[in-house]
Amino acid sequence: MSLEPNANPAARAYQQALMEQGIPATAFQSDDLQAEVRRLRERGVRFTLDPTDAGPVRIAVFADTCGNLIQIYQPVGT
Amino acid sequence: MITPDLLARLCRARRRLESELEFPASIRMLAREAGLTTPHFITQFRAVFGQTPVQCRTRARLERARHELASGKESITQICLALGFDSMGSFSRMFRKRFGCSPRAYRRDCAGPQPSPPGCIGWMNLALSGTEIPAKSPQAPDGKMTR
Repeated sequence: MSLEPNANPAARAYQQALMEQGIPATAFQSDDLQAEVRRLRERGVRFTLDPTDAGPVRIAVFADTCGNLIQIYQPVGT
Repeated sequence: MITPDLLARLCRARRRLESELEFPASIRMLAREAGLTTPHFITQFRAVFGQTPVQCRTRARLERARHELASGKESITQICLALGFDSMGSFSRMFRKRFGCSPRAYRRDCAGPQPSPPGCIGWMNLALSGTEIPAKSPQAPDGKMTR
């Protein structure tokens, strides 16, 4: 994944609005959500949503320090 | 954990930091509005946005300065002072560190409208207006003419 400077005002407004509404910019699948959350927490990552059941998946959301919320999820039963 | 309410308050503080540049609120006031002590506010802000509130404001000031240099008529000194930089020296130093050139060089070399080649619609408008189209047209990567 590549993170680049966001100099486009339109893109920045969209990015900030997503964050203000608590909407993740993207999502990544994890094989072990609990372990991933623990690993990230140990490195100082701040979560906005602790691991939570959401139907067919279990999700967690954190701030990536670049102005985005990132969701990680694990399908239930895996 | 950052609750949705705390996230909203931090986002509000960031919005103020980025937009209120000429008459900025103090960090202590922003912390109070966010319902946090100043040290806790700075810690939480940095954990979420990857920069301290002061760094956030400085970045916004520099970006506004760049915009003003490109589009405004004010002198570099006026821009520097209007945006609250302590001195021309510190402004130039921070500007160069962020954008790779001095404010003066930016205004001289980088600012101003950049001529862009006409696209398909541009060529069509030129043709319809009866303007003589130059014999040598830009070539597409595959070697075909673009008009």
